[in-house]
Amino acid sequence: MKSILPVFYALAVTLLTLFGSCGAAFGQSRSPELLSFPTQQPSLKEVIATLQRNKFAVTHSDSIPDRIIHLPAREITLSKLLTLIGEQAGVEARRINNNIYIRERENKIVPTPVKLSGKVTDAESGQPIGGVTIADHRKLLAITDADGIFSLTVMTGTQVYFSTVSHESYSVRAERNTESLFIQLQPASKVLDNVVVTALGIKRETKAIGYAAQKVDGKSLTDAPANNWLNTLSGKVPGMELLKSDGPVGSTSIILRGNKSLNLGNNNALIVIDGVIISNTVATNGGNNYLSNDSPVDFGSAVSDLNPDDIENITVLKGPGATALYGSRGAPGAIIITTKSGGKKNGLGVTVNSATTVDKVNHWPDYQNEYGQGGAGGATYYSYGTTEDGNGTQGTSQAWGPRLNTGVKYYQYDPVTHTTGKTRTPWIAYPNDHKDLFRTGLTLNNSLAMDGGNGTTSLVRLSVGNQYNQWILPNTGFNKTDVNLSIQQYITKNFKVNAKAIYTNKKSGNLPNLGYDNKTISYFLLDQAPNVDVNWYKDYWQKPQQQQRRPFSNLIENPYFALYEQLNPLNRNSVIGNTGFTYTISPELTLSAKTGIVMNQDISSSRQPMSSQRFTSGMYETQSVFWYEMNTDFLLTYNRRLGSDWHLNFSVGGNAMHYKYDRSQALITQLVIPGVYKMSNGVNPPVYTGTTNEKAINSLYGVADVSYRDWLYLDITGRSDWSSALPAQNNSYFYPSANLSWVITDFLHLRSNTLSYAKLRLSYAVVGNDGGTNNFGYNTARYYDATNGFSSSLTNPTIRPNYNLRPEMTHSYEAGVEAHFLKDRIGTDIAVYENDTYDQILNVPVDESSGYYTAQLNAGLVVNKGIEVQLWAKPVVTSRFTWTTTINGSGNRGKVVRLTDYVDAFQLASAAGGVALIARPGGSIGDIYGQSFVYAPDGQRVFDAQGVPVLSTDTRKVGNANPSYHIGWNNEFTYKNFTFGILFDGQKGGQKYSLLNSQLIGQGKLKSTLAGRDEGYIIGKGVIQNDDKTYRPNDVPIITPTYYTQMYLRQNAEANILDASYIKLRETRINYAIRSGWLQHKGIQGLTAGIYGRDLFVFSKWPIFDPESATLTNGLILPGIESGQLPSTRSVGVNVRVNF
Amino acid sequence: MRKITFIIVLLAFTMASCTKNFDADRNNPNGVEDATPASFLAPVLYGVSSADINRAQLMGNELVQYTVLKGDVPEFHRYVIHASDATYFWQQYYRYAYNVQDMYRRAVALGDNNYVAVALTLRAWIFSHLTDMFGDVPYSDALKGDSLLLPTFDRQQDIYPSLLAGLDSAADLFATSGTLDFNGPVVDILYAGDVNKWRKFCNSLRLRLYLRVSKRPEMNSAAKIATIAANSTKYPIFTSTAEEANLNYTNITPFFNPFFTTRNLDFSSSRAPSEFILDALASRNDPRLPVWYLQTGGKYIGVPSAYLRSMDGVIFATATSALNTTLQQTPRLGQIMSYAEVEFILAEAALNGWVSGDPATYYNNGIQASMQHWGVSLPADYLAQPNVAFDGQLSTILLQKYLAQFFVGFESWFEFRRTGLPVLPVGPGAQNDGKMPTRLPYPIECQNLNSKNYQAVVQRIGGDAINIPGWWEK
Repeated sequence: MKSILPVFYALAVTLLTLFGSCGAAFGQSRSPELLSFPTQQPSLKEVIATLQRNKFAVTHSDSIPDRIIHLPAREITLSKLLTLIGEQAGVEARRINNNIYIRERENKIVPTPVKLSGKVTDAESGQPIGGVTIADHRKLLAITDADGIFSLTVMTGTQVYFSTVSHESYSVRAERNTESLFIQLQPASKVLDNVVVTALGIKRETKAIGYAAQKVDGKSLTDAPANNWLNTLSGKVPGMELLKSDGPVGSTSIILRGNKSLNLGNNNALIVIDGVIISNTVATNGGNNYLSNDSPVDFGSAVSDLNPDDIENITVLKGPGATALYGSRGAPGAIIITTKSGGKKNGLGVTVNSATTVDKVNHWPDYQNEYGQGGAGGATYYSYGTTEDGNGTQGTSQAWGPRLNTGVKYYQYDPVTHTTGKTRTPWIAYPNDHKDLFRTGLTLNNSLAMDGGNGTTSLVRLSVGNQYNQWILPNTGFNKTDVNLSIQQYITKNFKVNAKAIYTNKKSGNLPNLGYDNKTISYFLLDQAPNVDVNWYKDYWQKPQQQQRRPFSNLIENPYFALYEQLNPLNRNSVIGNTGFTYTISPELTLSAKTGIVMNQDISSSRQPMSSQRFTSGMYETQSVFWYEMNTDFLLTYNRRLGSDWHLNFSVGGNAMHYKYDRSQALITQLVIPGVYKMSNGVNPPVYTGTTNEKAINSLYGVADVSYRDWLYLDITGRSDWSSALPAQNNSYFYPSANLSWVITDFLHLRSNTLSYAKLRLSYAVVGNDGGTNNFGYNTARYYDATNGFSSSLTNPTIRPNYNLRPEMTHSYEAGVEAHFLKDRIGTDIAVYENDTYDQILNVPVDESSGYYTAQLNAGLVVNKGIEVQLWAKPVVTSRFTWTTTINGSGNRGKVVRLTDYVDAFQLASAAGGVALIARPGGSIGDIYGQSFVYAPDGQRVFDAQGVPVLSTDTRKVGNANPSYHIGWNNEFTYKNFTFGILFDGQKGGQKYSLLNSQLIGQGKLKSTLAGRDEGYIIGKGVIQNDDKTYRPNDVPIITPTYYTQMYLRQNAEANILDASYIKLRETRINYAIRSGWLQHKGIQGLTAGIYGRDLFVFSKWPIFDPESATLTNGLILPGIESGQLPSTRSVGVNVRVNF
Repeated sequence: MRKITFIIVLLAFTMASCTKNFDADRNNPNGVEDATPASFLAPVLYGVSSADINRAQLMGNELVQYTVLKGDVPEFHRYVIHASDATYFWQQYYRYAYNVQDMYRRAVALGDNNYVAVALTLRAWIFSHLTDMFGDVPYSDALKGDSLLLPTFDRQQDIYPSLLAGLDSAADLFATSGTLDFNGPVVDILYAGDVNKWRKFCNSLRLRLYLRVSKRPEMNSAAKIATIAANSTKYPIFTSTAEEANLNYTNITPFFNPFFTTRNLDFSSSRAPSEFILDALASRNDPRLPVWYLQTGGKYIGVPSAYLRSMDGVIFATATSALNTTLQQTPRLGQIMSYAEVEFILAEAALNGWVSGDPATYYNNGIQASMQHWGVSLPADYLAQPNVAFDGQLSTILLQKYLAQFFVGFESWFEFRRTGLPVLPVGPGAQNDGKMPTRLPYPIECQNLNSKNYQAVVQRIGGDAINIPGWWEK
């Protein structure tokens, strides 16, 4: 029935029009000067006839067009009539006495009103499309109704545009009345490649954008899934650096175009999902990763919890030019995520996606299995406890003991009796002494999505997803379920409402402790000796709940005790939601408004049974973190064409942001009943602590876009923020941006088969910042803190308040060129940029004798310059086989130009052994400082009189964490129904201090420590200073273990700085798409099955686990420092996607 | 168009007026704007004492050979001290001195003499640490960060008179009885507000500091000590271990023994007793030995201080005695100033003829007090042993004082620098020409962040070396 309706409608319109014109024939006149017509719309011939009836002599050529003349009234004066004829029929009409001359005007098209009506449908499905805007150059003319029907009147010659977000635009020229104009629009998926979502969710054609904006298709996030989907962005976006933490969740910080702020936590890209800003702050227990009571536990960020199956696409806006409109937090760049919203067709569509991934440890250090446990004194025998062979030597975790697998036998540990064996047993290596602790990881991703609505004026999508993870360490993993509902509905033809809600629950029975401390598995792996079978640890209770069994060194926790008893469970509930409307007030004017919220609650706890290394009487802690961020905004857009060449678009908008964070913690440090983890089971009453932070930012902004023809686009933006984090007199700051896009090929008419397209872009932007997520303005006044927890007690602040804090500013410049050659078979996109960040809000160290540790100041200038290059090509395109290849590369150079007048060094982070990331003028963010070897004038290492290398007393720069460049190379081959993809990525340069390197070598655990063992001593290569200050070659031998320990001391940053360059085979996949009539007959529209691999191979000199993994500490992911890694994984999996 | 303008203006107004709530958002919900003098008491006492004890374990115990580290670095037992090792003291002492200054300022404003006196006592306690460690330090310009970030350095000979003048006046300001005014819960973790005990601490501290500067005739130490000792009503001092300044850790958050959660490796098993102290204790059958150190294989095995660097690995792998892990929980570790110390001060004063009484009595009382402090009873024959019985020698007093000051901050280092006693052996691996350092280098932060004044003071004292003696040492 539906399909017949428009036909009826068209018929009715036609009939009415016919009746209307028929009526014109019955005109009568009353007075010679005042002419009367039977209708207000006579034709020109009828007008002539009327004139003749009124005794005028009309002279006209036969060729004049017979047009309808629209009269203001049925009675009209002659002179007015002649003017109207002239205007509307495009003729010259003059009266000379009683003669009237009408003749055609030369070369003039005469516009006449024509009526267009018809229907807009989807070119593929044939379904009608509602809500299509129909406009001429200047104004909106009509909007299609739910059935796609439209009707409008325009003058001939008008170019009429049909446009909607979901489809490609189309235009026709109005020539004549047309009653059944059937317009077919191509679905958006084919068009979206050329459309990106920019700041504030504004969709723009790529050619109109004056800055780098890169789109990542949602599909490429699920082709080879990762536990944290953010990691699937690896290698796909030039200029993007991912800092990854370890563990099942593996939180990721995204750095775009280098670190700009000296506050490392302020360099993370802003994440926006469907217009709602959400946090990519890594949620942790806040622990420090080096020898602390609270080793970090990674709970994952709100972003990493998204289900990638729900993501339609991502746009990466890399520079502030792109993100000036997101205000303060847009300075580090932004990741704009658009989730899927409803089907493009009528009726119900169902998609089922199921993926199963198995994980194995990817890379192990080069452990030696030739020498067993033994202290650094050069142990000559082994004895578990005191035996007839001598005193016990089992207490050390070092491996400087006797050679293994030589047939020699010693008294060793008996795992059955848990004590010394009754007889001597063979002294052998257990090559799987590390590997056996791990299992094969398993991740199941299942999701079901239903979409419906009519595909145009009503879009609905509901999806349910589940991710179940058993991580590679026993008793670790998580289970995450999310439900996602998206609704868009036109209430009237110009009033659209939408709502999205994502609810996520993430649960884990245990997430592993990370970093370097007795309770972390990284620490155990370091201390595990080659002659110890890890399975001996499995029976981990000596006395249940009271005493763990530590058969060897009692410095390391039993790993199974750590994994099964020192638990860190998490229960997270989060909601991301927004509702809003778009109201087309008039053809030119649109108002939209929305309010969005991200709400997150993490309930976590941590337990340490009795006999834990740091809490011998046990410990139990619960933590509840609740935070929300609410953003309410409006945008008023005025859109106007000026003639056919100019197009203007003005928008003004505003945003009100409110953020609140609430953490409460309860702790008991000694248990009464062993193994009971309840606050009521403390020897002492539980201690409660809490933190609350709050912040609000209000903003107003405006955008003006001007475009000339299809080749010149200019955007100018301005934004003013009011932040509660700055003192009242400085809390408002304004910043502008300007972006220019110039399509050279269209301007110079250069398009040819060789050069298909070329565009030049320029961008300049300023972004203000109120000090970032962690500045709440609490240091703009003086407060006493309850620092060390005594009741009714306070201490002075250690940060000097700044009553006059100002916003920090980033100025950025960008230029880029995009060119396509050989009919788009080859293309390139190159961007160069510079970002200058001034007046950074920093807590600058001051001499403590002033009473303060730091002073909050505006200080510093950091300059980042870089280049990003993308090349793509389709080397082979045949009907059956195509090969698409993309290479991208980027390099960034950061420089600290100045700090403050009296601070010449600013420490960004510190690590084990006094190694630190320090910024100095002339250096860069990421410079690694620490002690180093001392060198003689001829460049040789200096040893002291005892043969031990001399260590510098001061700290000096020993490396830099920033890679020279990143590369990614992606290939896709399709053959018939097969698709094969392969992605490599990597980085060159970038150094990292490795604590594990120091410790593994110092303990004699690596193959590199085998040299010199048989001799028993080593003479270090270098010189010794004589008493007369001259040097002689080092001639003092030291025992082998001492040599390795002394050469790789943890405070010797130089010795433990390693190159973290790598190339990874990041993704491989083969998909097979089945399209068969039989399946369709069964209701299955499409079925795709694939197998994939992720991180299959790593090519790197990095000797520990993974050159990429970074250190999570105090809620921050630090570059350049490794202190206690866990292995990362290589994954393979299968997935199946079915569309009904 | 007018309508649009109107809407924009209206919205702009709404936005701008919303900033009214900003003041509420900028108000720190976690901190408070105002404090009472009592507010600072517990954090200062715990903070400074923890810093002392913490660094004693790391550095002070190594310098005076209570322990020897069985690892590669730091090499304090070899007299190697870097500027970075000094940072922590500088940070902690100045930080808490700043709190004491606030306490003083508020107490003066309130006219509360007891708190004025407490603040003066704490100030002398903290600043004496600073100047005893570094020599010349910022004092009159210090703690003025709101207006002055680059303080100049005062001479030690100018700081001490000021500290002692403050202490002298504090001794007179204290009420003779009653409790501190808390206006709320009793937050005095040292004396539960007992003013008389505070008074005793103040006068005992005067004894400590007057003795320290007793080589400087202009300080009149002998007379001052005599006045205090002779006038127990006006200037009461500690007369029992119940009165000594000791933080009795409850090990209820936050009042933990500072080593409560320290790893066994870091506190104990990497710290062997030096052969010197082991011998000193073992040769006297001292009952404090098992309280302080653990046996290995049924024996006490020490490590010689300043062993050769090339022995690092061997020593590390050798089973030795270690610091007793019970010290990680015991409240006995919370010593700020002990009663035993007062008796040993009086013994030395009596020996010098400054105060009346038999030095042997004071000496024996001191030993008795220390045994009591550590929870062991004095063995019947202990005092009669030939190497214990008082022989009229200062070295005898100072050996027992050395034992009694075990783990009391850096007191034994200061006393060694004043007296050279007890005579500590110098191992073959000792650096610094085998000389005990007499000061710490100024911290790197101070060098970098206050470089002009740093340069000036370094020029004045003749370099930032660790062998430059302080004013009271000369």
